[in-house]
Amino acid sequence: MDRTPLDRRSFLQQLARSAGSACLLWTLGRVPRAAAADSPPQESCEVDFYQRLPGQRIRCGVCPRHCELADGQTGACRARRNVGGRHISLGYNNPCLLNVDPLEKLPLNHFRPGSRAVTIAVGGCNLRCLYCQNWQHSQRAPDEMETTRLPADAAVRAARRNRVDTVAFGYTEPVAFLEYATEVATAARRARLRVAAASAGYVEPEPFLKLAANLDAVVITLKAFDDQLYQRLAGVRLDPVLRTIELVRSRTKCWLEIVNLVVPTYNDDLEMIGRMAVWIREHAGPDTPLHFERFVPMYQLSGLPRTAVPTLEAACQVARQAGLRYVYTSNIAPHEGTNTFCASCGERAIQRLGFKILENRLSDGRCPNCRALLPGVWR
Amino acid sequence: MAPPRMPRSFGPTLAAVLIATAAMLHAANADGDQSGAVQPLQGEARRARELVNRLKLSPRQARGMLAIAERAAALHVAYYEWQASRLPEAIEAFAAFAAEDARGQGFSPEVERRARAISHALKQKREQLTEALIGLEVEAAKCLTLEQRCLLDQTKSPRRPQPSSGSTPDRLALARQESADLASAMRPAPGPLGRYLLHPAAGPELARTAGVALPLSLQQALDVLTGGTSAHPRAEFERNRAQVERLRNEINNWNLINGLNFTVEQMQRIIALYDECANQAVGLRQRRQQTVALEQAVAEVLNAGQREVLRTYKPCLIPPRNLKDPVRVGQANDSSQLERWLERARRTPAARLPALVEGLLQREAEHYGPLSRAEQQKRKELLIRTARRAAAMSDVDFALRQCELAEQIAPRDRAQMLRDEIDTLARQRGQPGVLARFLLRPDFIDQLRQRLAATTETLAATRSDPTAVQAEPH
Repeated sequence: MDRTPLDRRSFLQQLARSAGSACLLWTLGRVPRAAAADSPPQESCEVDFYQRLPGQRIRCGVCPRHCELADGQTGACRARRNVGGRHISLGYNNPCLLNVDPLEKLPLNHFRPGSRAVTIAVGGCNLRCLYCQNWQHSQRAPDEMETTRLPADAAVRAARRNRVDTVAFGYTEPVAFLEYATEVATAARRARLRVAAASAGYVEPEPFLKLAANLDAVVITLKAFDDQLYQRLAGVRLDPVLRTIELVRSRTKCWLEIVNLVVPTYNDDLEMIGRMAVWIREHAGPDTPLHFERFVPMYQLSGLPRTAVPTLEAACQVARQAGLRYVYTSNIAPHEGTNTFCASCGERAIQRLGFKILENRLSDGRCPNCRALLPGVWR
Repeated sequence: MAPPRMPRSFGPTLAAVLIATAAMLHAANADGDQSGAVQPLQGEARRARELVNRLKLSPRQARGMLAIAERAAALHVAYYEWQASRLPEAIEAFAAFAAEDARGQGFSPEVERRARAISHALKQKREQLTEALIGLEVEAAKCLTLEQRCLLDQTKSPRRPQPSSGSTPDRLALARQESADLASAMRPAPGPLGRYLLHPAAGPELARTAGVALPLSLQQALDVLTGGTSAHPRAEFERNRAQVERLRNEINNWNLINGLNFTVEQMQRIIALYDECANQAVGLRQRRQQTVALEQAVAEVLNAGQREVLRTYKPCLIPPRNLKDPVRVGQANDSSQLERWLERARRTPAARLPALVEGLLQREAEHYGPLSRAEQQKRKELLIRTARRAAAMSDVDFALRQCELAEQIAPRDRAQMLRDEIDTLARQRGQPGVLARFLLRPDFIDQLRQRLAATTETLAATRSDPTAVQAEPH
């Protein structure tokens, strides 16, 4: 066979061309769908709360960030996109995490202790918490990861099939998938299931109330009690979160519990914790359970140590002194602070080991010793 | 404020009683050096002599043994040198790890990495030596007659608990023996042949029986094992090794203290109870009863969660990180590995499922001990059945039931069951149990005093100046 001799220059040119093409093909293959796509995902729904602006621009109205998006742009939550002037929810019917978890994991200590919930999470979050424990899911767009198709009715059917009577939204931020969460909550309520959600509470009142109308319990994470610190830790302002807590108390019938993750050197100032506890007592009530959660080195704060146990104990002490009657330690076990004590007589009513209930001595929510009614939803 | 100390006159006595009790209870799980290289050589020589006499080795057999013992000696010497060169590194890594563990706020990645690496290297080397010695032992056994091999099988290991004499079998002794058998099945160790006859200390006895001079290599190995090398003298080696063991023990204690999350009141109560018991001048006989009473009193101080954690606690140098379950302390079981296995099994074609099951069974045998043939078959069927069930599920149902399925196929932890049984029986008979083994030791109480002092200090600073309570970043 006759072969044309290849000089060194041509050989190198051909090699460079082939390598270039290979790189291009490889890069194209790796482009995340979210970045490449400017069409709505296969399954999507239009967001209820947004404002159309001139030139196919929109302004999102779900959370106080009010992202202004040009056509094809995705919001700060990574879960909503402007597609041709329509605001589209990307995570609709596409959860990235599904689990059956004890409600204590949310954490809910005064809401049907010992029962389990089908916990649903969709990718994305409108916060940028430096210590996020689920950053692999919360800091990515729903269409950038593996998901399971689960329409609202199917979620309810799955819960029923697996003999679970509560549906919960956790791991990531339900505000980022509010449209889907609202639909699942409505379907679950219709099927007489209970619904709970864990949220950072950074949301506009109207969308939140729409979701909360079908919720039985809410856990709000209060990251700190200082606006500057809030922005540093989570990238958002404090006031809207406080407003949401007030809304839960004043405009909904949801059971409310509040979580504060104590991060060493960031929000472990006891004076600030004291002010936070006073605010909770005054605006959410002294019977609102407050959980001080132990920080575990994670995400962008992996260089920090874990929260020292005495710091958590001191925080609990400060909160009790401020007038809160049910204060817990969380993400630490075994610890006395995870148990429920009657605020009237001090009797231990529920004993826990992590998320497990070792003993529940309450009967109809009443203390086994003094028969005082403990606040909460016990059945 | 310096923590109160135990009276010096009493401390060692109680320590001796508790350590002896702990050693007895812990025999099954002892994680000592099983190679034989660390046994005092006099003891080794004596046991070798006894064994040679018992087996009535012929000169020819002794010559055969001697040749194999020379190869074993080379292994012992190499192990000594390797260990001696790595012990300073282990001391440095474990000391840094213990210092961070003492603060109870987790570990900086570098400190954790170094401790993990050296711990793994030490373990791996020990296992390599054990494996090689077992190989030589098999070879040496071929020099023996069938009768001699039977005699050898009847020779009990000194670590093995002996059942009490009497016509009715003692359940406690049986459980202890079963536990010891399980431990040795999980961590194979050389038998008496490998431990004593192939040890360099047996060289002179074998040479005498063989009627030959002690080979030079064996003499050199003996010199190394008794006096060390010029680079690593034996005294320094022993000091370093003792230091590593002390640090390991200290780390285990800190892990337990951190994992149990004692309140200040609990720490004060446990220390007070211990001191009260330690201050009573009683004879050695009463000491054991006192330990049992102390154990009961301390059990009442602990809450149900802490007692549960202690029940399933298996010492572990580097505590596992598990956000899913904040309760995990030491090597207590969790189902996340089985959940991952089920996920893999769902994606595996049916034809390759048996191989996947075999792999899991093999790992389980290493972790929980071998199963009988019938048990193995039963477990294999359960795993295949569950894997098929998981594969038949929709993605949603599998996601929701993964944990439940994993719990259904959780292996039976025979070692834990035996530990529970031994603990219950021991306490029924007025013997100290698991709580005494882990918590009522002088070294543990000393560390608890340190933690109490540190916690009290932190809380005092909290009260006087709230802003002072700030942990330092690594």
